[in-house]
Amino acid sequence: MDDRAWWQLVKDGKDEGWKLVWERVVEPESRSMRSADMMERYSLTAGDLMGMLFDEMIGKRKIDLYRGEGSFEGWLRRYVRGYVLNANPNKHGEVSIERAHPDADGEGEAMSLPTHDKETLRIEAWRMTLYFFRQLWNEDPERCYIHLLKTRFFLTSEEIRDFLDVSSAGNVDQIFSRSVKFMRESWRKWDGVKK
Amino acid sequence: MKTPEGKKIAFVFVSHPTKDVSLRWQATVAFPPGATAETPLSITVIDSEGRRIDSAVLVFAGKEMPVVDGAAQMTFGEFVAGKHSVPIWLHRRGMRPVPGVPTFG
Repeated sequence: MDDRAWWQLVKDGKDEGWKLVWERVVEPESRSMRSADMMERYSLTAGDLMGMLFDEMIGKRKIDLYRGEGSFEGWLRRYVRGYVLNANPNKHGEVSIERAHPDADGEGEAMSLPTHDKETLRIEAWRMTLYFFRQLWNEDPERCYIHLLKTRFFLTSEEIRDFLDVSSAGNVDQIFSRSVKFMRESWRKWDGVKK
Repeated sequence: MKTPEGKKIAFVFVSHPTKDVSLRWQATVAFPPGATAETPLSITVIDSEGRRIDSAVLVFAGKEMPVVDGAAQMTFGEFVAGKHSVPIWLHRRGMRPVPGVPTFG
């Protein structure tokens, strides 16, 4: 499959394309020496990266920014690496993919010396994530199930459709996108409260 | 409704944070690969020390289930029918009921 065909599958939200994103981009990057250590420190999982990519590429149509210059795999990898670089728990949930991109201005900020106790921030990030997840549950448990099935068990939208008896795979994608948005906005609100 | 073949899926629920350790519990709902509506799910309920809870009542997915020797029974169809149901509780004799929450476990 050439890059153009792969890009089109990803753009259309097809499982075949996203499976390749997982196999060739997210999974290898999450195991790389460059990213694995930071991901562990920031409590990021490969599932989080996959969720982020899906939300940005499909939810926000960032996929249209790819112009065919260079390999599609490399283009996606740079986004993932940038996201990991900027995944400081102190600003968890408000990372913009444009700012995370290695070409963006201010890339060096991620390399500055830490001013907070990372372990404390990590524990707080974990506790607050659980808290927001519980709020998501209170909104509708089905959203939590879909969130877990996508990000922890890596089921395709079709598998989740069959699993939870959802009307269509597209509906699964919509619910997942909403749950990711909910978690992100919860973080944004929490950061606002802290300030 | 059907669970995927060849994939092990389990959801874990824990009690709300409580200072009294004896009130804590954990329930694991495991879905067999290829399960259909009539397939029974494996639900195990343990206490804070990992021991199976002898006797209790678990409220989950809109159903009240007796827990006997750490196990409760529910079919996959019942789970899907109650997929929008929020309350999760564990009732134990002589203890106050304790609500539960989903985790990433």
